[in-house]
Amino acid sequence: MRTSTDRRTAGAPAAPLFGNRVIYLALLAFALLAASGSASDPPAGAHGLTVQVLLYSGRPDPLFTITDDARMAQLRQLLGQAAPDPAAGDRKTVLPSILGYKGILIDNPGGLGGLPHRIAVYHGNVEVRDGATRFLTGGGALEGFLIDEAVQSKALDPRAVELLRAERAKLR
Amino acid sequence: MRIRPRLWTLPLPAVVLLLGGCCSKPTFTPGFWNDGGLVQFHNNCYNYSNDHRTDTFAQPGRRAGAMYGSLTCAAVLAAATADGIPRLPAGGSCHWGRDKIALVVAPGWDYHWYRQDKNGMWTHKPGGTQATNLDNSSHPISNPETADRGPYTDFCGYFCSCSSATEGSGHENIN
Repeated sequence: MRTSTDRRTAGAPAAPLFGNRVIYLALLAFALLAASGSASDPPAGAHGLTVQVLLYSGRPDPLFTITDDARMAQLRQLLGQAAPDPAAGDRKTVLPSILGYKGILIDNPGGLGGLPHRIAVYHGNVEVRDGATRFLTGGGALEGFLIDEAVQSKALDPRAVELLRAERAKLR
Repeated sequence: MRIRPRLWTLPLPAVVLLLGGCCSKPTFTPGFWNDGGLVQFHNNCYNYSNDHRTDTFAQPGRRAGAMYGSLTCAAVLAAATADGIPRLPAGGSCHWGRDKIALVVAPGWDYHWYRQDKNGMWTHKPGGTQATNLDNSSHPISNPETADRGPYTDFCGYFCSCSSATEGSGHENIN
């Protein structure tokens, strides 16, 4: 009588079968990990705006989200106060490549609140990306609002709060 | 049948090629990094200085499971060394096509890296912003020790990185 061991011996060897299972499980685990995203990835943004305060060079920048409709409406109103910048010329971005505070970036892939997909602001200059890129000026109130939100978000360490308060004071 | 060369039978340059890839000093190619999207916002100064795009905002020591525990020169130097990037003694120069990279720290706050390009000048990428050849005072960087570095006041030292002739494809194992 043939046992299961006999059948294994007569047919495909056990090791490759076991190996296939291991490979399958490894691929499954990899897919699950990839789907969950890494710690440095910002949230997907389906339920809110992802706001990133650009402070660091090496460390990941602090993130927080704006989820409620009232704040999104306020953002839309403040963005509406900014006007096209006639001095933009061939500017590529408003975010400076410097060490220290480099502005605030809003990612809104879902287009929530009637807001553009990406907004960047630094020292009152605004960059709006929604298909095309537009440059605006007079975004100090928008930047101030975002700094206040960042400070209240508890996403920042005390030194970052101090630095942002200094940046906030420059906007007045 | 797969043929595996026996290392001891090969000339030294071939061994270097097989083991470490081909190190090459980088040229300033900001267009590769400054796409305003995935590459720009997911690669930082550590990626840029090592000329290695990972899209993970790479951290010193993370690949090796030995990430820095504090934001001091000593801690970040140790983390980068754990990643296998050789430290350069003061006054030394890099060999085998490796290029100089420099570490600075804003104590207790953050770290930053610069790289020396083929033309001898230094360039960097501050976090998710664009790669640039200018310092905080908008001056080209001939020496990272004297450049305007804003709050990154501590100069920590130099390393030798195995960069690539193809931008973003450096050979150091970082993540």
